[in-house]
Amino acid sequence: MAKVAKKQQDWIPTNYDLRDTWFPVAHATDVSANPVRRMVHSQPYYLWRDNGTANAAEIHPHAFTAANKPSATAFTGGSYYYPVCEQYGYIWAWYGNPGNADMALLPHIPFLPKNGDIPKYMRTTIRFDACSALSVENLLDLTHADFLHGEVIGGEGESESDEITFDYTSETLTRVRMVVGKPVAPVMKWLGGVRATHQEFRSTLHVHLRSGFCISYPRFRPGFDIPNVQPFVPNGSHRSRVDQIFNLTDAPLIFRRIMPKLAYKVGPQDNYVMRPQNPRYLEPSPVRDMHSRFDAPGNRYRFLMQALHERQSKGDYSYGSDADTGADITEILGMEKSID
Amino acid sequence: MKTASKGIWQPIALSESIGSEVPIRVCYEAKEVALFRDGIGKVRALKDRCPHRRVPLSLGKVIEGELRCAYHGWTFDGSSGACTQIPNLSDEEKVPSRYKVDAYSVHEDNGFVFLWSGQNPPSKDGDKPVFAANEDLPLYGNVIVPLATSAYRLAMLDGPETLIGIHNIGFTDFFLGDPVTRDGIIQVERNAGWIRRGKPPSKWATDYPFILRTISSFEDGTIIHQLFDDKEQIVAQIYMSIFPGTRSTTNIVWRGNVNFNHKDAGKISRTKAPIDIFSHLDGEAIANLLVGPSSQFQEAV
Repeated sequence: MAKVAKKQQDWIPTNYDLRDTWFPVAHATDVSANPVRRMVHSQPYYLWRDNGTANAAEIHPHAFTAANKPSATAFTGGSYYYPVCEQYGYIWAWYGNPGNADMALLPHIPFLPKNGDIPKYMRTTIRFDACSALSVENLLDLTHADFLHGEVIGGEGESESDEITFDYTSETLTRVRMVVGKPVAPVMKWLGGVRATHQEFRSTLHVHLRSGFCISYPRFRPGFDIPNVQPFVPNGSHRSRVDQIFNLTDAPLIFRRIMPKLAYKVGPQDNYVMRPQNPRYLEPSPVRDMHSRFDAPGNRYRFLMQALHERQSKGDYSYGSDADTGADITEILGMEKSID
Repeated sequence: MKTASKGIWQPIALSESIGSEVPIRVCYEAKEVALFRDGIGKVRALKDRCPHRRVPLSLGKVIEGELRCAYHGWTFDGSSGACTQIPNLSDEEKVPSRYKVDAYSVHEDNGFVFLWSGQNPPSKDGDKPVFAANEDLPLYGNVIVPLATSAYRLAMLDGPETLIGIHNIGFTDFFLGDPVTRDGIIQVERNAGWIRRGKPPSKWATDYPFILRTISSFEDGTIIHQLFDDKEQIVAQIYMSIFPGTRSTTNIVWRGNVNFNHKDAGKISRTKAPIDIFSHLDGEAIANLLVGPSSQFQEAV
């Protein structure tokens, strides 16, 4: 829904209602003939299948025949139906001008099969008690993991070295964190059978700015990789929803089965701080946030989101020439090859 | 407790509530405060908002006497509010000296923790609070009630039975004279008697065994109740600090005692909450209170 931007002298993550992008509004396995409702920036999305084909509309399918059905909005061009497609195990629906919908803008996910053939146990749904942009910022900043998720990931700021680098375009941000000499993650020790006391950790996160779609590639050595996608779909100003998909086919069986379920432990740990944090970002604060060098990717994220927002507020919804959101990111994630 | 330094020492917490492992959060008017004990057991008060990502510091832990934020581990000295540690920085990297959180003046005495409300720090000499001095108050508690502080204070003068209880004691609304106002307080006295078979003291008694004296401060929201007998011996007393919380609620921090050596105190249960500060209020009973001594309170204010 269109909102009047608040004065931008502070980071107000609820302001970034960015348009003309695909949102993975549901796991493909969650959409059947029975309609389900999702929200994107407070705009309703009803999802259902007709003979296996996915539909996305802004009113309930039963409402199409109602005498007093509401008018269709510009988000569907007056048709009530959003552009919709199915890929990587998600139902993707367009948010913005339906005339600009283009499947070439779908993100590339090199570790997920395009046909969505991923076991159900590798899918989770987590609700975050913060808006999408604040949740993405949380994910970009991995130093919090030492404190909030120590019992899963391990360590509280203990390592030989900890370096964070990042790269970006006008539409994406890629953050890489390299940690050497980190106490081995408990989840690797207890579920993955890693016997070492310390390990190296390389975490790559590729963020699509408009959609909050995050492609995460953590690599532990000794240990293994935990590739997963976390789409922070912006429900509204206060909450976001993540339909997460892992691909743990290279991990040991027990790890493969249990790791996705740990999302239900890690998510509430994030909510422990984000739930009270979100209301403190609803209005401009006279006191600006302080930062450390570990916040550089997050600060860049704020800057890029602000730049996109400013461009869109002037009516420019196009994608910049530096941005190819559908580009192959296999190399960026440190993978040898895409599975497709 | 108003002092020469244009501020007050407001009791905002109980000594027992504040530990040296995890902080507690108290909302005092617009201030959100994280309270904890430092390495030598001294109570410290910091603004409950990490300057890094605005997360309440009260969600964190006390590590080696300093308060560490739950989110990223930024750590703060309770005395100055200075950020003393940002985890993962190298030995060569220093935390900028301007990185700090507001630190508030606190004082602990008589089982209460007092927060200084003034803009400027309290003066060094003679500014210490005197609330509940020299009293032995082994009963204590704190509650938040869904009633605005101003309304709570007025209701306490007109109908304390809607807000507090002393086991087996019924407060009447037969006020003994008019309220007395002096030195920043208003004092109201009323008859009180035994509750028998669940019924309040009879209206037809020639005399009542007790008097409840309520002393309410105009300045700092403290209220003292004294229940005494016909020989002016105190049977029970309650020291309450009442201050605004969020969303028009009222915070109440209290301590009290019952003189179980008193000949009549045996009817006051030692086990069934001898003193009860109600957390659930009867809205209808409060709404129906007739205006009594509170009218003088409002005039005086």
